[in-house]
Amino acid sequence: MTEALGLYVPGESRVHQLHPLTKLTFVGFILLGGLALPGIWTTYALLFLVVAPLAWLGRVLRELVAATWRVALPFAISVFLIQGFLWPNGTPFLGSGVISLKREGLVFAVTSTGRILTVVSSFLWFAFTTRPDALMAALAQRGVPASLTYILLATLQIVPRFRARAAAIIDAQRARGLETGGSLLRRAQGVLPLVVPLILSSLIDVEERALAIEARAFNHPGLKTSLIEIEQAAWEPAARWAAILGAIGFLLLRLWFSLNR
Amino acid sequence: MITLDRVTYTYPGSAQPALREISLSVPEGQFLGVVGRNGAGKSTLAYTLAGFIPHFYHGVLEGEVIVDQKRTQVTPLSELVLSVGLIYQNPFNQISGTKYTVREEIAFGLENLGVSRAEMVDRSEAMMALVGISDLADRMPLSLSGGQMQRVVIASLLAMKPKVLVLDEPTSQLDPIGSREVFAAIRSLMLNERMTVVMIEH
Amino acid sequence: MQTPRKDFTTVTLVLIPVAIAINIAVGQLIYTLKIPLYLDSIGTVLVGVLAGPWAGALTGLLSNLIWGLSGLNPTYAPFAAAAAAIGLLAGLFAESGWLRAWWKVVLAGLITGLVAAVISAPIAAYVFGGVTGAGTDVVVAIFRSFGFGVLPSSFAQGVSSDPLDKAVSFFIVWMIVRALPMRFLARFPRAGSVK
Repeated sequence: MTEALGLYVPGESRVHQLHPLTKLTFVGFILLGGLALPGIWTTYALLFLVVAPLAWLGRVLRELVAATWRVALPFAISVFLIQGFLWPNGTPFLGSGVISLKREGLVFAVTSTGRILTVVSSFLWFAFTTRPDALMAALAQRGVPASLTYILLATLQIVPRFRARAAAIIDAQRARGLETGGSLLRRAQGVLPLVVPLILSSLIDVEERALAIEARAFNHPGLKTSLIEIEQAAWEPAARWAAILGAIGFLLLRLWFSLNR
Repeated sequence: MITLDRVTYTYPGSAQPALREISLSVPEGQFLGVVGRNGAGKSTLAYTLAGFIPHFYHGVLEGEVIVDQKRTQVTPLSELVLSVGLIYQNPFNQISGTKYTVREEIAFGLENLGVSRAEMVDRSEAMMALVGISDLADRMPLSLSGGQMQRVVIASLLAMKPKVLVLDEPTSQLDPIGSREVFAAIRSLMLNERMTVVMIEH
Repeated sequence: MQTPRKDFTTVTLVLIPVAIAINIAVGQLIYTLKIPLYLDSIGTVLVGVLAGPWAGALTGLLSNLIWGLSGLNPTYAPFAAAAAAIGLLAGLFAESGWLRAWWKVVLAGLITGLVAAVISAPIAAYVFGGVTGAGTDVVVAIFRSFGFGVLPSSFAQGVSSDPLDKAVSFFIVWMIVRALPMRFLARFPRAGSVK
């Protein structure tokens, strides 16, 4: 599973056993809560009260915290520095004059970071606990066209191979001292003759790959069946509705809030 | 089972025909071997037998091609692939790229055909046993060696129970033992199911 | 026996994942080599040129969503609309014959980059507070220090990087398509637009 571009962490937790679509509705709920609810600290409340317990139930809490932090940190640093220090006509919070952290900037940064953390952590939670092919099978059951699930699954399997070949190119460049050293022109000139053949050969392969799925009756009219079975507990459909209604509720709350400003 | 009558084919944009007045006939359950030098049109013949010429490659196809009582020029490709299985040289381009286990990869064609789950499980297991790859059942197809992958491809196509199997240089990736197991599987299907086989080699 | 939407053949379908992989692999390669461009839309533009605007738009959309939602770089996900626009425009320009001369190719890229910047700015402003953690945030910083609002600063960031990046991307795709053998290009309904 680590061979595919997926972050799936194999496991047998209650969360792993949930139907993919149920988890998807939970993500929608958290997402809308994080993006629509007003207030500076609402996103952090969501993180601690909803995301963290869900991650703990899925036994992926440690991975989730590490991965979320790794992704959100560059953004957080950037937004705190830029918006914090450079907020025009802001009220100084720390320091004085030009070299000061502006209160409005800090508020903005905290809110933005909270949103990013919520979005990233909810998606990572989903990815850590859901097999991509289980998700696609569940979507196909719901009528998502086979062409779309094909694209998504094929991408998930092709991308790591491509990245490996790109990494080989980087290694070759590093051996020639061209990874970050050397002038810009030399770096570009060095990498182009390696990248273009990679792209060309992968495009030529497309023809045979298309032939292969035709040969496996991909365009056969009629309903497709699935070898893998996705199960769900009896309470899950109700939980899905609750999550969807909750998400809509967040939207309405935001609307009401904006209208009554 | 297979009849070609004065078949001439020219690829789109090509000045010369790739196939010139080819006529042949293969009765059901027989084996036809095709050899020839590079560029002689062997792969073109394979595509023509499977119906990919003209439906996939277009171009100009003259003459009659009849496989499993279907005239390939007027039968939709989606129907032709039910009768003819085509295997070619590069296994990496023949796996679906969407399945995470060999077992599911073999069932991919059956899923597309709407076969019931119970039958898919049976056929998948049977084909893996026949081709000798049961130990690879839970492996990820993309992680296999070329030879293993080619055997998965062959098992995947055999699972669809084609009347005709066309193999275009299928053993270039296979080691001697793998080749032997594949040929044994094919021979068994020829005997038991009267499968017709056309094999093209260098 | 044509598929209902003529552009969306099996070959197009198989091309899209490859194109998305090209986007991601080349984008990351360029980033690692510290070349000051994104070059993360080459696949999208390619699909737009070969298979039409809608296939291109789909490629861009899915590319960003997958890049973002798979955890590789979540900041990409919200910009899916801009990426879709790139694919759409690439297809439209190709259809209109813009890809027959190199300078038109570059111009098409510049225009596409500009449109992408216009679409990206409000997204960057709302979702990310104007900064994405990328190197080009410096532009945002400069504009903010001059008293500009978040949206104009985000737009400035986009305009300073997108048109050039897309111009280079279009040019690279143009070179690639011209290098592809005719037999391969014949697979695609739109191939006539470049040769």
